[in-house]
Amino acid sequence: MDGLGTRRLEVLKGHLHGQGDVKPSECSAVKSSAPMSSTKAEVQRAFPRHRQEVLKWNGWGYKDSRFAIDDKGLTCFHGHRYAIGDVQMPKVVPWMVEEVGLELSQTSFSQPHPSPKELPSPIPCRDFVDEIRPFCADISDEPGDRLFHSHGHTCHELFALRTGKIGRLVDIVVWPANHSQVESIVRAAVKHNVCIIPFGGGTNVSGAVECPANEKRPVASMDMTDMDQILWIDEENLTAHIQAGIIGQDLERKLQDKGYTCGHEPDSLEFSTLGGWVATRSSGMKKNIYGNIEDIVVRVRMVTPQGTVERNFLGPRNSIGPDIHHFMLGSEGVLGVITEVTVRIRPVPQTRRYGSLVFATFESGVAFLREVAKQRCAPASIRLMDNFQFQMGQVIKPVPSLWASFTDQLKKIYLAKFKGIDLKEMAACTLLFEGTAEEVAVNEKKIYTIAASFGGIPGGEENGRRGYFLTFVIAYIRDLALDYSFLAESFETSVPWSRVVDLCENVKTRVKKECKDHGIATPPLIACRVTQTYDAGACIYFYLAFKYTGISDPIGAFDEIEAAAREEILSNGGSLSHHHGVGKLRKPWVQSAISPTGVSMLKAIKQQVDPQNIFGAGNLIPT
Amino acid sequence: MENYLKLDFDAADVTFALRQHHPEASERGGKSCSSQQTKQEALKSPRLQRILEEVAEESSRELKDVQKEAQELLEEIGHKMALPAVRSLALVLRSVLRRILKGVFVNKPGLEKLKEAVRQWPVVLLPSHRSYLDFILVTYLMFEHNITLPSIAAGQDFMNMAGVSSLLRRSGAFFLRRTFGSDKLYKAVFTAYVQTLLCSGDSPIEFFIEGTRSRTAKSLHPKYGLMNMIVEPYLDGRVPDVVMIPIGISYERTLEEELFARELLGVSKPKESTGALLRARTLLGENYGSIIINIGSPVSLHDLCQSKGISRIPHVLYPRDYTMMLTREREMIFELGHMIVHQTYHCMVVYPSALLASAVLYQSRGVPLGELVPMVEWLRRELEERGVAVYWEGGDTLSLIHSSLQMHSVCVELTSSDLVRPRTCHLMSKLATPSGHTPSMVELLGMTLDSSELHLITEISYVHLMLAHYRNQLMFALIPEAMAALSLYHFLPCDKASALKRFDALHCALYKEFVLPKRVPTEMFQDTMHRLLDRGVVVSQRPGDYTLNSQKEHVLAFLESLVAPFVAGVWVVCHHLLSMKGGVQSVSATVHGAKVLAAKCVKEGVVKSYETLSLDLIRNALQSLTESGLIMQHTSEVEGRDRLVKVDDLKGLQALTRELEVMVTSGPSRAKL
Repeated sequence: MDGLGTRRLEVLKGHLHGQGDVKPSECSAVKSSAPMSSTKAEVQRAFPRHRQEVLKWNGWGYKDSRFAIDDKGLTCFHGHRYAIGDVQMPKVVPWMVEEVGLELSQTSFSQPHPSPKELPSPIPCRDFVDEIRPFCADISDEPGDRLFHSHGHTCHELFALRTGKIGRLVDIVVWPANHSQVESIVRAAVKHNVCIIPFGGGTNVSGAVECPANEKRPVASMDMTDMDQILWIDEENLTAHIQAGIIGQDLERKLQDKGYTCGHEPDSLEFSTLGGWVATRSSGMKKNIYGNIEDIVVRVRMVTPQGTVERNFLGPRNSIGPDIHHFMLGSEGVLGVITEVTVRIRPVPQTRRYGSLVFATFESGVAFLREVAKQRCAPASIRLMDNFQFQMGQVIKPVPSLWASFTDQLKKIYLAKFKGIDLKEMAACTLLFEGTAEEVAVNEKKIYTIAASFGGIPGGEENGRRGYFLTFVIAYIRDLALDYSFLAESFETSVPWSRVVDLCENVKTRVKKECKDHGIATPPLIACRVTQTYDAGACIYFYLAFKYTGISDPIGAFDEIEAAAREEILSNGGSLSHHHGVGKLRKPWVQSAISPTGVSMLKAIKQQVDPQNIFGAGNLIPT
Repeated sequence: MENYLKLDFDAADVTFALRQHHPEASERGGKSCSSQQTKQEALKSPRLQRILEEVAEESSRELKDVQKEAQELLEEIGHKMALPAVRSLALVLRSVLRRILKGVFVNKPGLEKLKEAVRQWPVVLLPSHRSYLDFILVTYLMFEHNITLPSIAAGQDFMNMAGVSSLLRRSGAFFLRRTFGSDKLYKAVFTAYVQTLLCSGDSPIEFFIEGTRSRTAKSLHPKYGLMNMIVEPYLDGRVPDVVMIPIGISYERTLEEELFARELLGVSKPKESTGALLRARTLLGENYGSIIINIGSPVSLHDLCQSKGISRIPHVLYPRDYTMMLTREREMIFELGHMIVHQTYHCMVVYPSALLASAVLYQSRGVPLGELVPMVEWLRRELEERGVAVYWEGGDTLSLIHSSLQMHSVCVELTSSDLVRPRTCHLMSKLATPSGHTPSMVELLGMTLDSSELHLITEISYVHLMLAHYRNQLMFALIPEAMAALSLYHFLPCDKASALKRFDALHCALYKEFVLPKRVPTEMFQDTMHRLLDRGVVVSQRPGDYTLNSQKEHVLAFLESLVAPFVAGVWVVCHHLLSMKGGVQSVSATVHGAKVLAAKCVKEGVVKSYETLSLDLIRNALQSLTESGLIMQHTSEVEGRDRLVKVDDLKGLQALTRELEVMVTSGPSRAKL
């Protein structure tokens, strides 16, 4: 007991002191590495069951949080949930006009929310509903619910919503509350031949929750977010057993209340669910300390039409043939639905510190990251932004005070004149250190020493913080772009170190050429960053946006350009996906990625577990 | 000519010398590397480093020594581009060209595309090669139009020209040895250098895909060495694409015309030396007409690979310095080479001098001036119908012919009786055999030829080859039709099968002489027959049967005449080979023997064309026969000795000889054009 007691105390101490290391002024800028949408500890859930009450139906995030350009051409971020709330950012518009050809007159605002009459009426499934109604927490065929549960966040899906081109919708939404309810619902679905599409945060960017257009059966969206309980915490073994529908920010808040963290921070943390992370093989920003989702999970329970699949032990490793977890990780809702997950947890770190570095070129930055990976001393997060992203970070800022703009100017002069760095060429690296104060100090020293040998110049803590913060608002920027005749998307890959630089360069070149060939007049925005480092390679994240004014079929052009970018990635040694998953969007490339035999193995599993195709979202497995 | 820009030789030299050269920056992140940086980067390339280690291990040498050798090789290879050198070279060039040329023209749309491509992609410029002038013309052009200057692959022969080599080097030329097949180290160093230029630099690479100047002005078979080096970085993902730009450079009068004719006859081939180039200066008082640089449409390697279903993915499964070509990729490069040569030649412009030369060679005893006018006009129409650009500078045909005659007075003359004929025509009468008896091959082989006769024949050939240099300029557009015509003309009416058989024999005999596709020629024959039928040159009453259209007999006769000299040449070579009776002979002895036999044939009237003396033709024939497996060439066991030639398939060779014989020796006199 003694051991446990002491540890508990330490954990709590860590928690109490955790923020203590961070100066209060810095706290105000960003509240955590991921912004917590709510500050009230007593709130149990970030948003209500019918999420469209607080979340946008046709865009990213909260209804009350958005970028807008006012009559004077000034950009402002509305809402108080984030640190940049309600301040004007005068540099954004001029910069966008200059860099990507923004024209304020070319608006393309969204259609209003379609009225119930405009939506296809649901295919009835009365028998199914009658069977589950007695135990199911909630069932809805309200148009608003159905619409919200029928899309993810690909550019394609949002463009369709915004232009009023509503396709096949789910026919009903069900909210189970626990594992056995899920089992009963799946049994009923098998009995009445109802198609189920599991729904977590709905933040996927792969078309994974879209209904297959040709699905003639009733489709039920299984919204998992009522299943948000931490069932137990095992402090001895540092594990927690959690219902899979818990939203990322709720999970972190609840764990941190007890002095722990899961440490998994995908960019969608505010909205995505634990089960969604498992089902897509997600990756978190701080994977260098906590691991990616496959490292974090200890046990997964998944309900399939054939019953529940699970490992009946909590041991840390096993040698029992191919790991059945790998049939669940990345199964994208086509084999079953994930209900409960045991994860590793860690005490909340005492110290968290940001940092940043400036490199003369993207290449030298990559060389630095490679060396860090080689020496295996990567901090919790290390990222490298290309010049474009760096510039973007610099303009999404409030009006600087006179003093701040003066020092900004001094910094520029210092870099350009004294360090010989071309501001149009340089790349920026952002760092996040976590651990005990000593660990962080040692790690920082090592990182800055390595950086120096690649010509890296420290750029201060504030720039590092901004870098991470921008990750969470960038999705809001896309909505702004969509308002002004742009199409925008992000995509990612992983690639061996030796090909990182060329892949980035070649993909950019290919996208520019494709845009030109498609008659897109203004050069596109195509920017990238290295977001993860591994022993053998790195993860690269791209942003793509272009103005489609004058193009007759913008989304058709967009699809072709995105496909060309994907082809180029594959041709340069990149993987089909690092963490976004396959969904429907990347299915055409699966066979060449994993060999026909590999596909037949997946098909055999699908056939065995779900012969009726109850989990009929149609993701991942090529037909 | 409204789409053409004239290069500005007229602006004052001072103005020109002070002209700025600031090309727009590369948009693809290519950096303008100094020549020294390029060499250093090439040396650092992981692949070269790996090979250096291998070489050190294989030859039990210290790695340091091998590295040092590599560095020395890089010095030997690398250019030392320096703007002042380019500027002074350009100054000399314009002052010379101003005196001997009417002008140098470049097509505007091509130039725009070139400019754009250089900014956005790794670019390879692939000019045709008929003169040393090609080396500097493109650079000059790009200098004048403010485009990043190219790095140019030059043959090592230039390195012997003391001042010239250093001037070329400073104008962006880098040097490659003629052969480096087995020299692993050299090959690796050279490859690394070229690939560094392509991948890291912002300057385009320029090389001559035909490898050497085409002495005959016909297209030459592409060389694949550099092509491989260019394609590899794309397959390996080091560059997003390689954009290849064919450039056709057409000369109204080739500066080296006499030199080429001499070389083709093997009459003292002067080694390229500064002295020879200086002697060339005596030519500078003459009129060389104009030069047209036609920049073709850029070819994207990426698009080509896409269309051929070639994926880069197989290469991503290997470390980056382990690229190796797959069979399909090699095939693609083979096709690409042919395609580029083809496109380069289709960029070319045909000058009236080519039409004139064709007409004169068609009737080599002389054409009355009055007949020449309609002949030239007819030829122009025939070519234009086939999409060939003919340079026609206003004015009436007769005055064009006059000015052309004046310009080409070295090889063609206008007699007092208004007869246009090869300048050496009068010598032909001295050779006429009195008896009128045409000797058989056996008799010919036994005959001897005294040196004064050989000298006389050579002198006539010399002028004929010069004329052929111009006639050949329209060959690219007509070759398949000419081959088909030869397989038909003397045999009409005939059936398709027999014509195809003869066509097949021609394909086999001329494979190396012309840049013919490697495939079985049936397809080519059918395509061509379609064209001939469409034009009504032959008619087909029943499918598979061809008959003569007497209205168009002259077309067939002319087409046939284009290719007949070459076939006669191969036929003579075949006879010489058969006369070896299974023995072995060195290549040089074989070539000489065939040439003497050709001279005898010409003298006795067995063969009509003096072009059969061309060493180039004889060597190509040997290559073609080797390619089809009829003869063998193998390296002598004694080092430094010539390769040996041996008949490998006697029956096959006999059959081919018979097949060619029918085509070469039969036939009435030629129809009037």
